[in-house]
Amino acid sequence: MTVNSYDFLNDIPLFKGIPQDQMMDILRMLRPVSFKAGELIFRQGEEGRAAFVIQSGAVEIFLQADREAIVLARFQSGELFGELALIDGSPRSAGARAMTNCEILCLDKSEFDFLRGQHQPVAFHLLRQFSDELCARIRDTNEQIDQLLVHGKSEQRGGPIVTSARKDQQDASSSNIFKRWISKLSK
Amino acid sequence: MAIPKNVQSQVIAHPLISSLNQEETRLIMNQLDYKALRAGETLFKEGDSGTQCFLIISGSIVVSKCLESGLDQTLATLGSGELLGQIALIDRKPRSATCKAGAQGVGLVLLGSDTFESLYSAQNTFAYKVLDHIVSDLAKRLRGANQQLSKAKSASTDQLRHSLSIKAAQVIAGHRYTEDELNSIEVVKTDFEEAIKYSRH
Repeated sequence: MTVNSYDFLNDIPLFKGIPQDQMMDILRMLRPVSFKAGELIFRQGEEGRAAFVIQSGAVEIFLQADREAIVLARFQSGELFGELALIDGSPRSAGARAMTNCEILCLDKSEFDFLRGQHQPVAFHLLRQFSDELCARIRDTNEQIDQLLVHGKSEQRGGPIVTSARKDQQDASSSNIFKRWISKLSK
Repeated sequence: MAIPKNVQSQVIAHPLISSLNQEETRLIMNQLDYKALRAGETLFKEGDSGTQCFLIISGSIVVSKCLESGLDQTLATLGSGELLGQIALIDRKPRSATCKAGAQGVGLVLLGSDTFESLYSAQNTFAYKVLDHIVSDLAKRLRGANQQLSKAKSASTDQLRHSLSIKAAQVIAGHRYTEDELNSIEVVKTDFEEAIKYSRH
């Protein structure tokens, strides 16, 4: 790791506010890897063994559906991806591929687990950042669920689309069912 | 109120406290408060502000959400040893669901965000354990919920879509589905289905 890497890490939200001595722990943990444009970084379903920080280049996260790939997200320099695996080691819920030639820093789960097990300050700091990120994502997921429950519709990609005419009918019919139900209950 | 003497041993047995050493336990017990609710009493409502999280010491908490129909949908029942309200502890935003005491009432230990922050700054072991637990638990809920949500988005009928959305909400609320139950596109019993059944009578 070079001094440049240190400056680079300081600008990444995940590592913001980490004191200098702890940043040295992070520098020791990170493993630089290069990927060529088009190369697979991890496969959907495989065991998650690391989180990744992009030093240069761009990455896409995708779901393989039959023949086509559905792109879920794109990440670029300075961004972090694959961090859920660092927390729970569950299988990857999507795949990741380099869109351009990439320089990537890997944060291995085994390294993180070691610091986490020892209650090291740097693990404490990372857990705090992860908790913020997870809460934001849970809130976002909750909103999507609420939208589905209220409107019964989704902004889906690839899935069957309910036409507005059919949906209006269904909205009307389910709200009638509720009205009837509530009136029966109140009798 | 401070933790009453007669429940102290129960509090010490909570998984987030039991592995602390004597000194750490003593320090924590002096900083935490205790609250008991009778059956059906409300702890907080969806939309309330409040940044405390709660360790369930005895009894249970029923988590519910108000659906578009105006009826409450029970999402999860959480028992002793579990943690509750942790999202607001971290992000200080309004509660996303309603929590009431279960049939046997509930005994809770309160952890306020100010106490948590000061313990966090001091790199206290209890704060570490709480944080580690929150992160692991939320990651699991998020994965489970997103899995159901993506199925819901591509579901072929409104009823299935509704049911899978409820399942996603249940997972976020802390209901524990097995891996098999999560993988199956099984219809969850909801008020919506009850209403449909009822309307056919």
